[in-house]
Amino acid sequence: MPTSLNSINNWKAFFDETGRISLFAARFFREVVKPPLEWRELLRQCYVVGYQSLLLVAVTGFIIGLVFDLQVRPTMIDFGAVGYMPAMISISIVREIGPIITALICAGKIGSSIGAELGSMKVTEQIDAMEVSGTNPFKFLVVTRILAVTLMLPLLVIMADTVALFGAFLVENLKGDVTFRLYFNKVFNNIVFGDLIPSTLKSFFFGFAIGLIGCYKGYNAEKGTAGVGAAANVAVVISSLLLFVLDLIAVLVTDIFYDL
Amino acid sequence: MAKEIRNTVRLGIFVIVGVVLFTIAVYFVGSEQNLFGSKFRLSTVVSNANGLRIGNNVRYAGIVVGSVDDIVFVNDSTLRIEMILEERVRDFIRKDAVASIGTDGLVGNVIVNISPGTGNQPRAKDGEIIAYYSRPDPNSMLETLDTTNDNVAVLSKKLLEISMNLNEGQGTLPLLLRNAEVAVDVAQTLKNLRQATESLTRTSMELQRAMGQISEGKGTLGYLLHDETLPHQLENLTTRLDSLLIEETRPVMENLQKSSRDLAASSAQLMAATQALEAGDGLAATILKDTAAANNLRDILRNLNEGTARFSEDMEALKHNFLFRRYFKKLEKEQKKKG
Repeated sequence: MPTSLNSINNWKAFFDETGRISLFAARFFREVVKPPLEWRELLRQCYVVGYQSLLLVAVTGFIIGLVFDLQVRPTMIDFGAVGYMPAMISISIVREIGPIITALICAGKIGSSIGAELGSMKVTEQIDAMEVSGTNPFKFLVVTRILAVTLMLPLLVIMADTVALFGAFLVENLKGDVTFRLYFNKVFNNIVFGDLIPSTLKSFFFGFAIGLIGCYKGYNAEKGTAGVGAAANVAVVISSLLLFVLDLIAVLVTDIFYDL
Repeated sequence: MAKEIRNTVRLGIFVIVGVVLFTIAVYFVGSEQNLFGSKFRLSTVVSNANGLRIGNNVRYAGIVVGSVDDIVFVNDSTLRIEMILEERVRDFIRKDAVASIGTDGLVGNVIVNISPGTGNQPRAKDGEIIAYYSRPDPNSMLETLDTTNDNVAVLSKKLLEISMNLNEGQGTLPLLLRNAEVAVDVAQTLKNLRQATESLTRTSMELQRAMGQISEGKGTLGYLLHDETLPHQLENLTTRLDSLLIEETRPVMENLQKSSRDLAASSAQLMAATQALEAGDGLAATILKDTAAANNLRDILRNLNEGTARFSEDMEALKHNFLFRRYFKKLEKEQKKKG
């Protein structure tokens, strides 16, 4: 097959996939406003997505804060700007590192989990069985999961930010004798709503993207058990890529409003 | 079912902790931007905001007391910076307080600094427009630094030339640097100078000690300076001297006056005699005015002298004459008896 034809087919497949995902998202919005909502399943999914991811996110955030401070500190000392460490660390973590790292971890853990779970249900025809039994599988499986990830990810980001800032504080305290009060005074002296609100808002979008891609790939899994693995894998890859695209858009939009 | 309830509780705790953390963050960030608590507004008018943005800190006497709320264009060359400040500093900000735009450190955020006004002015009201002081911007400072750098370069070049001349050239300073004998001489001079200084110090100390004694009233000079009765005594002495002088000099003065009067009379008589001498025809006038007569008189006197001398010789010869010798001896004896 000629390369150009192959490229066109790839683009066609890309647009086709984008269109399908958009339709899937549109169906989610239709279903989410249509009562009744599966509250029990939603709470269960929130527990799985939020509470069960907390340890992983907290440990990662703590290490990120610790390592980030250790890596940046020598350079700041060279510039004679070690006093600006809390400000720099806090802005970096709150604006960017906290949300994107947490989202990537959740994409790996939750996105693959949702993709594999829904994919196995699909290939074992459990979803078809639910339809036959009169239950709306989309509402029960997809809406609850997407909502859970969308709602829990911002909370996980806030906790990851807090733990990461605490990790950075430990380094500052051990290496620079900075007290807890001075450190957090400096942190909050330099963080403004322009840092806090956009990062929290984009976390909702990150969560929505992870849930949407995971559910879409799992809900549309094909080709038996191999499809389950592919669904999990592709869910992680696409959602991770989508996170960076969304992050870029979020930064551009934030800059527009921040300049205003 | 119990497991589901336990999971739900855990989820509830997780959500509450997350929300509380977010609320705390919002509260602290809002506090820094003075969104909570009572506050008041001040504004100032500037021509250049120097990169100031909404939300930047406002400091009063070096303490963060507020933030920039808005930056408004008044016209094409004027901006009004509106600030929100904490109520607690309201009593300290006077109407003549001055705002200026600066930076937090050399490379920090742009901030507004408010300098306190004078205490005798009333406190600034809500919405008051305070004066603005424009500080030199970093660009002009860098231009000045650039000029300074050029000057330093020229100076260092000149210094290099001087040090090369010192190392290699002629003259006093290079000689000092290279010649060991001169160095020894300089060292000796310095030693002498040090000795002279020490001597001067000792002298100074002695002088100081003497001055101290004088201050304490010791010694003649000290007595003279510190004896309070001395002026009175001097005054008495002066009075007495005055009276003594008057008493003693009065007769002398009277005698002087009398002598003066006598002298004046004598002088008048002398003048009359002189006039009479000049005008008269007597012997004296003739002698004074007639040269021939004077010469005759001089000849007569000379002849008289000569005659007298010869008479003396005759008398001496007569003494030795045997006829008169006895008489003269008798006369000598009588004179000796009288003496």
